[in-house]
Amino acid sequence: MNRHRKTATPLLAPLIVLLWAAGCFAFFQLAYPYHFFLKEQNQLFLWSWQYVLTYFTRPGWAACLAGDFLTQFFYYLYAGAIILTCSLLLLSATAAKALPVAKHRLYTVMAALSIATAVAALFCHEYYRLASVYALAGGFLAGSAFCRLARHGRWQAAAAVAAGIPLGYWLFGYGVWVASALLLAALLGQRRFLTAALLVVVCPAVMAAGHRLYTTGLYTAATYPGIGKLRAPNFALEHILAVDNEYYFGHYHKVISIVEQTKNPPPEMLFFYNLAQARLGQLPDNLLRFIPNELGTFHSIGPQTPLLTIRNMNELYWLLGDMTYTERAAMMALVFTPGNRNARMVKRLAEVNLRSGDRLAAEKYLRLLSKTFVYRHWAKTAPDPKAGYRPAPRPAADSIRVGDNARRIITQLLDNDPTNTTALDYLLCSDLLLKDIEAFKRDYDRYCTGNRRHSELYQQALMIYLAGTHAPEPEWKRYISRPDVAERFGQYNRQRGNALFKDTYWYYFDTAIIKK
Amino acid sequence: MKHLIYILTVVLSVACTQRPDTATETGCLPDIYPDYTGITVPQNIAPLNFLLRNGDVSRTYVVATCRTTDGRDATIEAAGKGAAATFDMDEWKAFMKQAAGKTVSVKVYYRNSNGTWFANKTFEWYVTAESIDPYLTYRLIEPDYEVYNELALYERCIENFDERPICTYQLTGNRCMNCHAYGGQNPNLSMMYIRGEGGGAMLNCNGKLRKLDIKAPGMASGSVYYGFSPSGRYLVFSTNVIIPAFHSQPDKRLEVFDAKSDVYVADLHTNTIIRSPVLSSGKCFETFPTFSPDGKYICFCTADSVALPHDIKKLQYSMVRVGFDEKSGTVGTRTDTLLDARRPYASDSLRSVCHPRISPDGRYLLYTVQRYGTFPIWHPEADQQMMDLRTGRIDRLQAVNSHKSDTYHAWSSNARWFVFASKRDDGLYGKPYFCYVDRHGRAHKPFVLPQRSPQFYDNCLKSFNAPELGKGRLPFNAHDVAEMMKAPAETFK
Repeated sequence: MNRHRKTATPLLAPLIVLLWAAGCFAFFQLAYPYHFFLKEQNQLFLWSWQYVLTYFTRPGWAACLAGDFLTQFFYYLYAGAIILTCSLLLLSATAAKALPVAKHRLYTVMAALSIATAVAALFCHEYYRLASVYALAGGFLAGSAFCRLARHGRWQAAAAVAAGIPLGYWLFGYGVWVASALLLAALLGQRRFLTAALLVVVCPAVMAAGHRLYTTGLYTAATYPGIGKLRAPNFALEHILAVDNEYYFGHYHKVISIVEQTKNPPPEMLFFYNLAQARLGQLPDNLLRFIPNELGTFHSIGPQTPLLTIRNMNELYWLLGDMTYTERAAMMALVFTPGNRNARMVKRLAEVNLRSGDRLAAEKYLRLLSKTFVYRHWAKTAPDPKAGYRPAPRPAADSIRVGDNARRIITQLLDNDPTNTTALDYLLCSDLLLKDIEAFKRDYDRYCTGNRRHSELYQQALMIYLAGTHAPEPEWKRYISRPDVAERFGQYNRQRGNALFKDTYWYYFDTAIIKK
Repeated sequence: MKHLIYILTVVLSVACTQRPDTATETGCLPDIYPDYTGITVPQNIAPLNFLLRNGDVSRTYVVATCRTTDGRDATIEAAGKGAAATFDMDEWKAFMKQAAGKTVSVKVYYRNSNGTWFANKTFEWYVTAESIDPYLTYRLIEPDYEVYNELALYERCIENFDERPICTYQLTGNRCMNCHAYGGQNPNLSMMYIRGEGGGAMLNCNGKLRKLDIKAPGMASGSVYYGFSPSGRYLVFSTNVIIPAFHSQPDKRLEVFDAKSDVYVADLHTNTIIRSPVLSSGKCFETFPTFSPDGKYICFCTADSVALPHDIKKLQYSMVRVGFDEKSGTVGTRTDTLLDARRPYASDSLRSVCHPRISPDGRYLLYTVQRYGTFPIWHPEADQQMMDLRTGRIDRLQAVNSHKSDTYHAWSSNARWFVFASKRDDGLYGKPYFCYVDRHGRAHKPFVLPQRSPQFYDNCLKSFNAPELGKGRLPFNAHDVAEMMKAPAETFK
């Protein structure tokens, strides 16, 4: 029996590792891929010595540098899952090397993989950094090096404590706790109680010194670059990030398809669904597909607004064509990103200034992006007129707006450029969602004169107004150009509230409850 | 083996030749960033490292030369791979000592990827014997002042590249903090604000921190803009209800105005607030108060209230002064108008006055003018002007101002230098520029705060907000401030 186990183990351990790696890759690639994009966007790694040297102003510079360097490649498909799987395998390898040798090699492998699995779970949190994985891997690596050194004698053990622990902290941040724990176990095993006592004093002292030296909070100093929080994968956020990023990459049909396949999509997904529909010029045709709907026009952003909402609002303003508010939302998203650096927002700031014709400001952001691996080609080509950044129409007269009332923003855009049909659809659809038929009619009359919109939705809404005001026949003829819709209106009026008409604005108008 | 080492050494030294034997003259000035051509610098400034913006640069070589008092030529070189020219700190210090009061000629050479060396036209640095105050404090913040996250105030030694936080979000629970200001450039008298719970005005008196709650009934807000009296006993400050707004034209971006503002004086010895109808009229907006260096006047800006935001373009601030008696702590009853926004004193439309700051010798009054309003950092047309208080002559500082916002100035203690925030590079990110005012009152071309890496500003996504010069290192650190957060605040009557 024993002989059999000995021969089976060498094959079993690699097989388990291989299966674990395949499972890890599959989970993150198939079930959780969009979190990688968020993590990539929440930093701005520059290929510049000046930038790299800033890593020395924080503890664990080696772990942070390695993690952030690799995170930038999360931009590419499959790269995120591959990099993470490899990083976790590296972590388990260092852990297996550092953990006390078990009777059976398989147990060591299982223990190491358990640690990697726990870290993989931590990685599911949107703000958990790859740098933290490397901090831990570095901790295990340092731990095994210290233990090896300590085996050589008393003075070597003391050197591992006195020099190794500060060095480990400098390189790997919180990973040094793991290194210390391993070293402590080794010292106690070697009955070097004095050195162990020294270690118990040195490790917290190093953290306290880090707190002073790096001018940071004690907790941050002791846990940098972050120990994370164990929690279940956030698939709701993953779905939102899916539509957010597919929209960002310009895959509008995919956004629509994802949302339509989702049962009860949350407002954040509907927000991107509407953006995608608006991009394709079919917002009014799909406004009532999901009730309640979310256009984003009733939001106001401020210091208490979640980062994701601020980012979303930036996309809305960009689509509508208001460069002032796009820039403001992008800048706010940049401010609220941990570390105040966000590649996607820097790119958006460059785009805003390209469209508003502020060459100097655009150059500032393009120069930054030209130092990144992922965006440097874009930064080179974006100023070219062929890149498609046509100047946004500049308002003829300037006006001051307090707050971010979307209605005011949109009407100003339309006053300046009546051909802005996206803004027009957002205005009319917002009126309709609020069931404010009078505002809808007023806006329709004001902005649809030379730009008549014959969408079925608008025809249905106009009929409600015309019927409600007992408009004379010429008025009906003036507004209603679709006899098929008029005929259906007659049918609906005979059976108001019938679910057969669920797809009509009349049904929505009669049944929807509007939240204040 | 010996031969091999010798050959390798020769090959390496040839390959790494840093200075050109021959170079083609381009006949034009180098395209360098920061623009350090034709500037006047103090002898105690940190190395003026810069970057060549020419496209194809594989190596840079810079030589700066000046004729010393004993007739010798003193030189300093900077050489390196790529487009960056960085000077050695020790060599720089020795060179600047010899260059004090002299003109330095700077020649920039660069090699392209084909290995051809080019030489640019020589430019000059005028090194003044008058030093600038060696410390600079500022807040680093994104150029969007309505929100904040991860803020910090820093102190930088401008004789080298040492920078340290004096108040940081990491130790203050990510609270909002406002700018640090000295009393007469004295590091032993200064103040800054931390907002929110546990915050207050952190007053530094000889390194001992006091936390003040400078608020009394009837005030519109806590104190915002402030200045110390020469003795340090009084603090004149404004209370402002600040409203951010947005322009529809994207190049104008943000507008910030006060819905209400008044000026008060705080007695820091008795913790009392001194009020005056001249400073807080109720009918006008009063703001940007500052003491004259002799303490006999309070200078501030005032505007007739208008309907806001609709009539923002009619919001024009004049600059006035009122007497103050430091002995009795009393405010005068009559104001003198120094600059009247209703009667344009200049030929252009820049009439609204902000940020008056009088030079420590009492000779010059530096201020910002803009078309309207009270927040010049977001007004591209905002420029600085300087009034000679002896003659009343106004210098429009054409050599100093740019086509973007130039404002938030602060004097050096010898009144020969001032620092200001300028957005001239990109219109968005403010950077500290230093300007020399010679003994004839002529302001020279300013230069930006040098950085160890000349790529610093390109990579930076923060604005340097409200730079202030100090004569020495502040006697407290960010941990002291964090500790002070736990103490109760002193209240005012």
